[in-house]
Parts: sequence; structure tokens; C-alpha cells
Amino acid sequence: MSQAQLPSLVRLRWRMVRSERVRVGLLFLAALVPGVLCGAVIAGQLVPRAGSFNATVLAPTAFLGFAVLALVAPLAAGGGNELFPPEQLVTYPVTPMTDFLASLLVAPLNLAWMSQFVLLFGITSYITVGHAELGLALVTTLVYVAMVTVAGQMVAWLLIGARQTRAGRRVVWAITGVIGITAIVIVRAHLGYVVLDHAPTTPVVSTVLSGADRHYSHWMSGTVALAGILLGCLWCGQRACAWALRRPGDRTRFKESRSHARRPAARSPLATLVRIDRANVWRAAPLRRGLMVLVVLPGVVAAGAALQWESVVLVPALVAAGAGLLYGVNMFCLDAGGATWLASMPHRPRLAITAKTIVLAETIGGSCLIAAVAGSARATGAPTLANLTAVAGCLLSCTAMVLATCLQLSVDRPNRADLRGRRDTPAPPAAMAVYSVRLATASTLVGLLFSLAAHQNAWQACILLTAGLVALSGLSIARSVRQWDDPGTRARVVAAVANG
Amino acid sequence: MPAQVETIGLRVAFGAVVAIDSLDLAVQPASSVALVGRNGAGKSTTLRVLAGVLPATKGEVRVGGIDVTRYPAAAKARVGYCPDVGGLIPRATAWEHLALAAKLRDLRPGWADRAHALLERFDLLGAADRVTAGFSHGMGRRLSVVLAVLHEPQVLLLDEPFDGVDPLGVEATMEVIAQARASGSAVLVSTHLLALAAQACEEAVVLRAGKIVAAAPSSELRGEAGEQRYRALLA
Repeated sequence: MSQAQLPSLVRLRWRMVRSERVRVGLLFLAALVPGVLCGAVIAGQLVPRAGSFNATVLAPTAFLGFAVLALVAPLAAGGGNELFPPEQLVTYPVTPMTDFLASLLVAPLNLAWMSQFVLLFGITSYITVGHAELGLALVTTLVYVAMVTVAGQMVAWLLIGARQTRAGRRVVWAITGVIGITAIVIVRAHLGYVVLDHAPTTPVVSTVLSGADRHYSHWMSGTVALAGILLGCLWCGQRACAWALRRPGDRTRFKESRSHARRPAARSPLATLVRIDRANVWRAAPLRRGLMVLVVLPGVVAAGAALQWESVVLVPALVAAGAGLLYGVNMFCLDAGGATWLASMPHRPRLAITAKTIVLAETIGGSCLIAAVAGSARATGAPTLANLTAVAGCLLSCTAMVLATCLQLSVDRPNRADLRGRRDTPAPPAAMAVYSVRLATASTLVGLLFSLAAHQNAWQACILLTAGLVALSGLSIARSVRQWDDPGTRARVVAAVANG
Repeated sequence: MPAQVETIGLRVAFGAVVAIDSLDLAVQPASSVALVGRNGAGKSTTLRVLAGVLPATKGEVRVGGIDVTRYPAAAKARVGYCPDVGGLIPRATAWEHLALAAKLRDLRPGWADRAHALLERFDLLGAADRVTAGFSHGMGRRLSVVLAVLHEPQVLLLDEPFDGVDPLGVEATMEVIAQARASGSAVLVSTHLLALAAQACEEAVVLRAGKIVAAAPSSELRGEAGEQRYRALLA
């Protein structure tokens, strides 16, 4: 049945993409992927060979990095992304296999996954230059990518199921703690290189190279083993999915019946609205989890890696885009059905958008600040004035830019999103993919500019760049606020977030 | 006395779809009118326009004598509105909704006592500090009515206030409608439940495809004869 269900669901999802621009953006991205993969392969063949031995030695680490990403990405999303929120399909006999295949289908709609995939293709091409069979090597890489992606989704469903009970949650926390402590011990004991030298992905790279060298039996056995694991994960994954969906309801529903202590009245209407919006963010399970992951993970990784100051500059740029994707791209969805009631209140329309802008700025800026501070805690060497200016400038600029883009998207493309389930996102998966490319590309470019300025010791350039980008973002924010002033625009946004 | 709710030639169109066409409606002070009709007749759209949530495409709209298009904030200050679906911020508690309404409406410090009394009357006191996402549909409807009447508005707009509400909740809603009318407010209730509409309001206006097709005292729509007449109007 799932074979028939999945295409139907995909067709429905596609028809539900109302915006012509989003459709065009998606088709463009889909068309871009094969081209980018070909580009990576060609680039791998053309790049000078000076570092090819190093690349071969480091390839298992890159393959391992992809596996970690394939495991962490669905966990960070609360257990994999969804084609439809469960509430919308509850009356239909959707099989667990369909649910599992749907989560697999949307897994590549993730900029980090896609860029790492392209990188692996590039590395495969680079380390096999001069060998006879590039095609066989690429087949192995492709099977490996599919295998770890399916395994990531399988683990995510297992954890969703486990987290339905208190004992299961304790086990998951205990495992997380053990992994965290092990990572800290490895970093503190300077055992990182030893661990990476024994990466479990070394046989995979060996299979890739044997394919390129026409050692057919070795290549065949390695690739078939990977394919076998892939099929095993597919089989186990759909059973894990069925098990997770059979377990008692998500605990977020129980949290909704908890009482919250009353607080003294806020000073002003704006302060009252800001307080409600903050509560709306922190009481939403997917947003709370997303913020924790966003703040903790990049900071811990940056601290563990003991980055150069020029690289620390990039940390706020990477975090800002993620923070915007939590709910900022559709920030009025926080009010959901309450948007209609709120619109009937006698207040200046700018009050509502100002409150949400303040809370979103806190979310983005706060996440960037914590990640940047964590990243700089173990940065190598003393920072120069240019390093500090670049970090601060990048933080301010990326916060302002992401804020401006989020406001524009929230006013232009609102849609209903309850943000109640742990895997809920503020927009459908395809739109989220387009938004993530848009936000991450802009903020990464800005991060690279600041990194370059820091490298050149040009603190004055950092200040000028910050002033320019913040001013441009300010103009964009002002334009969105003026749009919001129009009663027709407000009615459209309210109708979309309240009624869908 | 001038009408508290008045629409003249009201038209609301969503692109090619005309939801309301040339609607002339008036509700006097200290009176209650039921807007009845089939799904998609334009009842909720009319109330949204009166509440200032949706701009009219054409025509004049006044509540409490104030032009809703020209002076939206002043008009909204006179209105208490219970939306048809949802109407609540999902992760705010019932009390936080009331506190927000009090702040945005600049109510006097005694508002909390009235809020407390209303929550008690609607049997929501025990759930006052819970987030509304965990409310049942009926509880959400009851809280929406409480929020609409908190400030004792000049104009009370209730959209499907009885939908999914238990008999005690219906009784409490009937009480607040009667009290609002007694204190001189104009009440407009949109519902597809004819019997409750006839019980709550003195007059009923039947809408079909965005137009008024009949207006009569509610007593004429009671009983089997009233039901048959209503069905004939909907056809």
C-alpha cells in the first residue's frame, strides 16, 4: 500500500505549494543538484595534486563526518522531518512504511546534508585521479550516502519511540551524556587523531579506491556489504517507525495541561506582548529543542575543535540562519488561531510586529552570542582587534540580515503551523529547503567576508561592513513594517496563520 | 437612538469569490440579532469585518457609531469579538489572554475581579493557568466568550459561541448575552443552530450567498413551523 501512498502524498504536497516562486525555486534547486555533483567531480579531477595523499588520509574522516551529520540532523529535528504534520493525516490509513519513506524522502532537503554530499563526491573524485574507474568509486560513495542516511532515520525513529516513556527518556539522556563525556575525554587527552585514524569508515574509503583501481572482487564485496546494511536499515527503519508510532502519545501533549504561575502585570502593552511571544517560543517543544541544539551543538563543536580566530568568525554566521529557520521565517504562526482575536484588539498594528521582531532578534542574537562565546573559549592564540571586531560585526550583521529576511518572508508567505509536535516546522519541507538555502547562503557569504577582513587585520573594514549590512537590513525591516501597516496585508497574514 | 452596528452596501470579495454582496444591516442598542444561514453564507465574514479583522471591499461599516475603516482602533475599543474557530494563542494561558486583553484595552485595575467571576461562571477557573493548546474545543469556545465580554463592550460579536459547548456553557453564554442586552449593548450572534439562535436573540437575519434573504422576529423561527420556514429560506 505504501508504494501507492507515497506518490499520492508527494503529489498532494506539491499541489499545496501555492507560491509560483517557491515552485520555481524548488525546480531550480532540483535541477541544480546533478549539475553541482558533476561540478564537484570535475573539480576533483582538475584540482592540483599536491595534497592528494593528505586527502586520501583524511577521506575516512570526511566520510565519518557525513555519517555523524546523517545521525545528528534528524535528531536535531526531533526525529526526522515530515512530509505532512501527523495531525493532517490522522484520519487516513497511512502505513508506517509510508511514514518512514516520506521522512527519508525529505531528509536531503537540508543544506548541510546536500553540501556534505557534494563534498564527498568531490573528495571521491579527487582521491581517485589517475585511477581507471571513477564510476565504480562514485557508486560506492552513493551507496554509502544512502546507507548512512537511512541509518540516521532509523535511529531517529528508535529515539522517538524510546522518548515516549520516562524510562526511555532517561536512557536517551544517559547515552547522550556518555557520548558527550567520551568526546570531552578524547579532546582533553588529545586522542582525536588516534580516534580518527581508526575511523570505521576506513574500509569504505578502501572500497572506493579498490573500485577505482579495478580490484573488482574487493570493490564488489565492500559495496555489496554497504548495500546489505542499507537494506537492513530500511527493513529495521520501517519497523522502528511502526513501533514508535504505536507507542503512547507524545509527551508534549501532557505538558500542555501543566499550570504556569501568574506573573505581575507587565509595564506596557508592548512588554505584555513580548512576554506572551517569549512564552510562545519557550513553551513550544520543537522550538525549545531547536534552540538547545542550535546553541549547544555549534558552540561545543567549535570549542572542541579549538578553532583559529578567523574560523570563529564563521560561527555566528552558521548559527544565525538556523535560528531564523526555527520559527522566524513564519513568525506570525506563533499566534495560530489567536491571530484573529489579537487582530480585533484596539492596539496599533505596529505593536504586534514590533513585539515579534524583538523576540526574534533575541532568539537569533542570543543564539549567535552564546555559540560565538563558546567557540572563542578555546580559540587558538590571543585575538587581535580585527578578530574581535570581525566576530562582533559578523554577529550583528547576520542577526540583522536574518531578521530582515524573516520579517519579509513572514509578511509575504505566511502559513498555518501549530508547532505542537516535536517535529513540526514553521513551513512545509520544500519551502523550508528554499528558505534554508536563502538564509544560509547569505549569512555564510557575510561570514566569509568578515573572516577575510579579520585575516587581513582590517578592523576598519569590519566596522564599515557592519554599518552597511545593518543599514541595509534596517531598510528591509522598515519596508516589511510598512507592508504590515496595510490592513489588507494584515488580514491576509491573519487568515493564513489562523485558518490555514 | 443610532444603530450600534450598521453596514451599508457592504461587499467583501476574495478575488473572484464574492463572500458578501450589498449587505445592509443594523443592530440597535439593547437588542440582539442572530445571523443564521448555511455554511459559507457570509456570517463569519460579516463579523470579521465588523470586528476590524478583515477590511471591506466596498461599503460603509460602523460600530458604536464609529467608522471601522477610518478609525479602526476606536471602533475595536467598543467591540467584544469571539472568533468562529480557534481564537486563542496556543501556548498562552487563559489568564495571560485576559491580562493581555486588559492591557491592550487599558482596563481599570478592577478587571481581575470581573475576569475571575467570568471564569467561575464559565467553569474555567480551574484551567485559568493552563495553556489553551491543551483545552478541549468547548473550553476554548467558552474562553473566547469570556474574552469578548471582559470589558463590557458596547457591541458584542459572537461567532458560533455555542459550537461544541456543553449545556452549562450554553446557559452561561445565554446569560452574558442577556446581560449585555440589558446594559444597552448591541449583540450580534452568528450561528447555524437555529433553536439556540432563536432563544438567544430577539431577531434573526437569514443570510444566503452573502445576501440577506429574510429578517424576522426570532419567535417566527421557533417550533416546527419556524424550522420549515427557515429550511425554505436556505434552499
